[in-house]
Formats: sequence, structure tokens, C-alpha cells
Amino acid sequence: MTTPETSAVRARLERLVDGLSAPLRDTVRGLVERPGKQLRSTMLAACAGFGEADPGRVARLGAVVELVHLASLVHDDVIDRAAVRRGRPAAHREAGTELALLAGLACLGAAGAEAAELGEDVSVPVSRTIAELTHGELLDVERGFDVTLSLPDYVELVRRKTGALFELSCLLGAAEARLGRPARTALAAFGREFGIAFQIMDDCWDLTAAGADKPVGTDQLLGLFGAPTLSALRADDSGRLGELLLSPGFSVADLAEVRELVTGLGGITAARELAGVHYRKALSALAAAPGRPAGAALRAIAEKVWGEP
Amino acid sequence: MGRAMRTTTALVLGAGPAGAVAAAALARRGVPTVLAGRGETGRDHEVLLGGPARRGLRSIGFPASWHGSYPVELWLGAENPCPLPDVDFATVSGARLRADLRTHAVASGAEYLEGEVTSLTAGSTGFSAVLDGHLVVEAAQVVVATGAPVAGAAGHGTGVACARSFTGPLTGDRVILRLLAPPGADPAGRPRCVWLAPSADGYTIGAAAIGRCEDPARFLAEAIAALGEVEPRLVEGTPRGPIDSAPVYSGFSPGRAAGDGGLLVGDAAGLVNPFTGEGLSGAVHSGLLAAGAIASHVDDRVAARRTYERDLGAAFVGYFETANHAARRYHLAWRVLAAGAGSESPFFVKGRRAIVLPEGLSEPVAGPPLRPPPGTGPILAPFLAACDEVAVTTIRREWPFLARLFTPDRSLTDFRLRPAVALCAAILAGGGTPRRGHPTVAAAIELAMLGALAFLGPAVTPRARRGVDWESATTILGGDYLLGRASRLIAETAPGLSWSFADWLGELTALRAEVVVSPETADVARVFASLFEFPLRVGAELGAATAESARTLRRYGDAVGRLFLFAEDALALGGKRTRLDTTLGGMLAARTSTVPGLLRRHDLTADTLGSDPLLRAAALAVVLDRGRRAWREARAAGARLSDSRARRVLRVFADAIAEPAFGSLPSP
Repeated sequence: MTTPETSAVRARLERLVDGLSAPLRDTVRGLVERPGKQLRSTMLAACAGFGEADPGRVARLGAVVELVHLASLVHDDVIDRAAVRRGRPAAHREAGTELALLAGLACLGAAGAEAAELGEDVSVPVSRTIAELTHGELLDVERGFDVTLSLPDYVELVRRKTGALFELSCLLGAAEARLGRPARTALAAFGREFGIAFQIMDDCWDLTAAGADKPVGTDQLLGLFGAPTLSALRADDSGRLGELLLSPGFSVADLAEVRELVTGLGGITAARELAGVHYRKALSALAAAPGRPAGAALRAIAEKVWGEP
Repeated sequence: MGRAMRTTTALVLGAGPAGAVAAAALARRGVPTVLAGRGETGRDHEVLLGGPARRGLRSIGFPASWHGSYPVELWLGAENPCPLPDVDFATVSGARLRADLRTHAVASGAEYLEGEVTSLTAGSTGFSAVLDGHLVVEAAQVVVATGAPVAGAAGHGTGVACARSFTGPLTGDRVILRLLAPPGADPAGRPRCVWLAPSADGYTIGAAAIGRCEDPARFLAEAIAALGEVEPRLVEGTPRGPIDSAPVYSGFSPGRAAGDGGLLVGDAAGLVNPFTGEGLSGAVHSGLLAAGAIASHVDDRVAARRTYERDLGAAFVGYFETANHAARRYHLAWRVLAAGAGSESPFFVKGRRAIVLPEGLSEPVAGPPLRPPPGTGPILAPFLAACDEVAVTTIRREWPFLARLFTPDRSLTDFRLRPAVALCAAILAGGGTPRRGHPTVAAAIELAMLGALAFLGPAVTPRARRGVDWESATTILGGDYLLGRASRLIAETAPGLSWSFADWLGELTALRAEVVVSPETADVARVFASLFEFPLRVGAELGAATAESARTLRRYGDAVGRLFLFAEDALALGGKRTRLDTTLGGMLAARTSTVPGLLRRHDLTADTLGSDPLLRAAALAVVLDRGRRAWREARAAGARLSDSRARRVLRVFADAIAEPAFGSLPSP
């Protein structure tokens, strides 16, 4: 969906990426041209709508969060050896690993510089979030092949990996709206919890439906078990699922059985329930924030994403 | 039943190496000390004694009972060893070492009571221990050196270590450490280490594993087979005794070791390297630290605990901490080691050293220590210490093994070459002294420079296999993580520098991308010029240098960065160990060598250079010429500064980079 706000963010994003050196710009240009849902900047703008915010600054801030997101996608795709991103070959497939890594880093640099130009109140939370995000990515990979990871530990890593950037988006928007501390805290909690719910639903999709970007079950092959699999492992008295996931010959051919086992053990249902818990926490945090029309707009964005398959 | 009663100031429970070292060190500092423990337990095989442990023992006047020492080879697969330059192990009979250490404790003034501790209670004024059920010893302070808890009892971090000595026919010339891949292709496998050490009349084979219970006989048989693959001369010798097997415990945490039940040392504290099962270094070092803490606070056991906890925290980094993550962390670090076995990226080369080697009580091995120029020592030393502390505390909880790269082990980061030294000098150039917060910025920049190196080295192309490819993942995650931490430290302590920091990342990536896409025209040295220029630029800003001085400092940084890379090339061409621990082949493959550009030969390989002495001489001549030119430029820039302290430090810094590669330069 294109709105004047998303177009303004995209224009700003293009300008920032234009500032990179030619080979790096070319490496990420495709991702800027296919910006995806721009969910983070949309939420930022919706939070800014709680007050009288300067649209120019809101667009610049939106570009900062989208650029941080873009940088993490480019690096993640190298780690996951993903072939496709947003319907096209991933950056590292087209430009090579080295340029993709440098381009991702250059995007982080550009986001940092833009954040610094927007002021200390922006650069401090942005750099804190980048630190959280990189730590979350580390935790994500560190637990590879861990079939005993507890769900609270899992939620904690998801909070860093995904929740932190949603939280930042809402926080930056709330600051632009000049909201008081309680309202900012409420919107930050909304972003964080919504991000967690979003990521857990994404785990479910990894098992149930092939998305545009990856075939079913990619994460299982990488040994990065999400909420449905972890819940199912908990419920599996026979030990069959764990045995299968850790078997040396595990391959794409085994994914159908994994899916069947996880579904049969109630893993998908349990994960959806867990996502629902965080989604409801997000909505109740939002209910605590003042400002009806803006709150309704933000709620509508959340409901739309939540209602998607 | 009548009980005999004794009173002392310090009571050390357990008369193994850690306890005997603590008792000797306490007695040498004049603290009345009783060392209590069982006599010989019958274990006798050769044990490995690393450099830090030997230095620790020398520091308490222990006469050397070991002969010579052997170089160390680390094998991660069966193809090629990873050399560990400047590292050696001595071997010594474990039983003899324990007996000699006990004798030394007594000779130092401690009293030895043979017996088993049957109870220990802590009261409000001190401790009360019962030996063999009848002798009560009251003491103001207690050191607990009773060895590893029984396997499984302590939860995570437990495992088993076994060893057996053989006589003849192999008399080796080196110590071999080999990390074993998990059995089968078990993706959840845990690290195991096997080792081979020569002795006077044969050899000792050892094996250690954390996180699983191994059958010692089977485990040792596996060790012999695995070592035989990399040391063909290893043929079955005659066992000198039974298999010795003992639990190992690597669940160290500073808080637990300095708890209210006495100061835990050695194996009791879980100070065992989880990769190698080596615990003697930790035993010696923690014994010394516990003795030091008690001797400084003889009458205050709370203060002694505090001091011990702090000193342990500073000395033992990377041996982690909360049970929740420990197993995964060991696992990660081990995967990283295994994945990077063939890698020459500084990340892996330095990581291997940091993870596998014993630590503590380091002394410089890469050259004489920096003798700070007159008048700058009192500024530089605390500045660097504060900088280390920030770097380590910033990352130790989250990525402890990476934090080990920042412990002050000078074999890892030659202290004279640290960017923080140049940054500190740039602060001085403004005429003042470093202020609060400045070491934090220096730490951030050192973290960032290591992070940046992850992206500026060779491109790691992920391999097709199941699971995450650890070599590429580590490089990316490690680099991102360090840069993320650095940017946060800067935003929080010096927000005015956030823009420059971000801009610097942009500049570095642009320069490196240029090398990647146009290797024939790009100037590789500019990447390093930008890398080194940044700390000088930041120092100038922090120290409020004049515009003229700031320009001069930047010129200096630029020249020193190029000098650094030319020096790397010169060392690599000469077959010497480079600062980034890489080789000529590694530099050429990573496109970090200046040689192809200088000779206009973009197809150069290490083999071409190796087989053509004339070409190599030409390469060396041109690198030498450029290097000396950069050196002169750096010196000239440094000499233009008005502050004499800055001038002197920057001169020493440039010379330390240049001299091992280019010899001496006449004074201007």
C-alpha cells in the first residue's frame, strides 16, 4: 500500500542510498526499489500522529529504521544463504558475498550518520537498538540445533532480534509527537510486543506456507528452531521429533514429516497462542496511550498485519 | 569425644596445586597459614605447564622442576596444523609437581596438616573446620582448593578428563592439541580435546570432554587413534600405570568463587579451560589471587572476598557464567574454531589463540614492552587499563570468547601497537590530559577496528552444508556485533562523535568496495590509512586540538596506517609473523597486500613469489621503499606537534610499527 507517508520515506531512503559509493549503491538498489511493507516506518509515522510532528523529520526517521532493517536483511541473507529476497535474487547472489557485506555495513553507517544529523535524542536510541539487534542475531545463531531451548529464552532472543527495531520505531515516532514519558513507554511496549508476535507468526509461516522469499522449513534446515517446533519438542514424549531434527542425514525430504509431527503435537497451535499473548499485550499497551484517532490508526495497522495469512 | 583445637589466620583446604600455591603465597606474605589436605592420591601422569603457570610459580620462588619446553601445534582437522607461534608447554610429572609444591608451601612457612576435611562452617567471626573428624581448626579466612565437584553434581560445565603415560618408543619434540569433531555428523555434538605430550622416556596421552560422560578407556583409545592420524610416529607404547580419570568442572563464575563459604580456587572454582581440560594455569593463577586478596585484607574477610571477585573477574574472561547459556556458548566457540580451521582471517587466528591457550599472568612475548616516553607513563598506563576494562566489560557477558581478545595478553595485541595509544597521544596534543569518558571512546574505537577488520579481510563465502556456516556467520555476526557495541558506547559517552563514527564506516566500506571491484586501480593502503586515521581524528577532537594540530594528527594517522600495511607486507615477504597473524598467501587472497599494486602484477600468488627470488626481492625493495617513506611522513607529522608528550608517544608508536619490518631509521 502506497501512501504519501510511505512515498516520502522511500524518497528519503533512496537519497540516503544514493550517497553510498557506486558499487555499494548498486548492490542494495534493488531492495530500495522493492521496499516491502515498510511496516516499521509506517508504525513510526502512526506513532508520530499522536501529536503535531514535522513530516519531514518523520520521513527521515522512517528512512533510518528502514535502512537499519535493510542492512540486517542483507547480512542475514548471507548467514542463511538465502537465495531470494522480496521476490528477486538476494543481494549476495547478485553482487557476491563481499560486496553484500560491505553494502550492509555501509547502510548501517548511512543510517547512523542520518540519525546523528537528526540529533542526540535520535542517535542514542538508534545505536542502542543496533547493538541489541546484533546481539539478538548472535543469540539466534548461537542456539543452532538446540532442541532444549526454553520458550522464555526464545522470546527473549526474538525481543532483541525483531522486537527491538519495532520498539525503536514507535519510540522515535512518540518522541516526534512530543508525548510524555508514560505515553512513550506505552507505545514502546506496543512496538516491542507486536514485534515479538510478528516474529512468532513468521515462524509459523515458515512451517505452514512457502512465502515469496523462502521455501517451507528453511529455518529447520539451518537448525534454527522456532516457536512451533520448540513447543512441539516439549510435547513430544516419544522423542521422535528431536531425533529427526538432529539426524545427520536430515534434508529437505524430511520437512514434510517435521511439519506433520509439529502440527500433530500441537506446536503450531501453541505458537499461535503464544503470538496471541504478545499481540494482546501489544494492544493493551496501546489502549493505555492517549489520543484516539492516532491510536485507532495504529491499531488498524496492527490488525491488518495480524489478519494476514 | 575430645577434640584437639588449632587456631590460625588463613586455612587452605586441599593440598593440590591450587591449594599449595595459595598457602605458599600467603606464608611468603607473612600470613600465618595452615595447609590441610589428604596426602598423595596416587595419580601420576605428565601434566602440561603453560608459560603463564610457570611464571606464576616462579613468582612465589618455586624452583623449576620441569625441563625445557615444547612448541605447541593445534589441529582442528586432520589436514593441517594451526601453528601457535610463541606458545610452549613444559611437561612435568603431576605427582612430583604436587609433592614439590607442598614441600615448597612448608618451606615458605605454611604448616601442613595431613587429613581429610570432614566439615567446614562459617561463623560471624571466622571459619571452623574439622579434620578427620577430630581436629578442629579455627581460621579467620579460608581458601577452598578441594578440586572439582563430583561429575554431574555441579550441573553445567562438568565433564571428564583422562590421561595415561606410556614409555617409549616415541620421544616427541612438540605438544599436540587436537580438537575432535563430534561423533558422526551429530549437529548437537560437544567439543572434545585430546593431547599428546612428550616426556623423558615416552609420552602422555590425554583427553577431555565437557558436557558428557565418556568411558575413559574408550575415550583414550579414540584419543590415541586421533593423535596417530596427525603424528604417524605414535605407535603403541607400554602403559606406565593405570588410566587416570577425574571429573573436570568448568562452570566458573567470579561471584560463586568468591562466595561466603571461603574463596574457591582452581578446579573447585571451575577454572578449567572447557576446550582443552587444562586447569593448572587457572589453579596457579587463582591460588595467587586468593592469597593476594587475603593478605591485603587479613582482618576483613568481606573485603578479601570483594577483592578476590574483582581480580578473578579481570583475570578470567570468557569462562562463562550463567548456566543458561554456558553450554551454547562453548558450543558456539567450538564451532567457530572448527569452521575457521583453515582461515587466515585475524578473527580466527587470534580467536584460536585466545580460546585454546591458558591465560593469566601474561608477559609480552611479541617484543619488549612499551617503555613510555618520559613523563607519559603515568598518563598512558591508567588510560590503557581503563580502556581494557571498558572493552572487556562491554562484551564479556554477551560474547565472552570474543572478550578474551581484549584481555591484556600482550601476545594477542601488542600494546605498543594499540590504536588507543595513538588516540591518547592525540588527546595530549591539545595540551591537556585525558578526561573521564575518554578511555571509553578509545575502547569503542578498538572494538570497532576489530569489527571492521572482519569485513576488510578475505571474503568468506558460505559453504553449502546443513546448518549455519560458522566461518561466514562468525565473521558477519562478530563484525556487526562489535561495531554495534562500539557505536552505542560512542553515542552514550561522546554523542558529538556519532556522526564521525558513522561517516567513517561509510568511508571504510567505500574504500574496500573499490578494492573489490577494481583491484587493478584501487589503492589497498588507503583502507588502512582510513582505519588508523580515525583514532587520531577522534583524539584531536576529544583533546580540543587546534585546527592546525588536528590536520597534522590526521596526516600522521593516514601515514601510520599505510606504514602498518607496508610493514605487514614486509614481514610476510620475509616469512615472519605479521601483526595480524597472517601470511603472504593470506594477504594476497584477501587483497590486503600492497605488492600486486606496487609491482603492477595482479595475478601474483604466494607460490609465484616463493619460486622467484628476484621477484620477491623486487617486491621487498618496493615495499621497503614505500614503508620507509610512510615512516618518514609519520615521523615528520608527529614532530610538528607542539605538545612534547604527544610528539614523543607518536614517535614511539610509529617506530614500534616500523622497526621489526624496516630496521632502524636514522634520527631526523
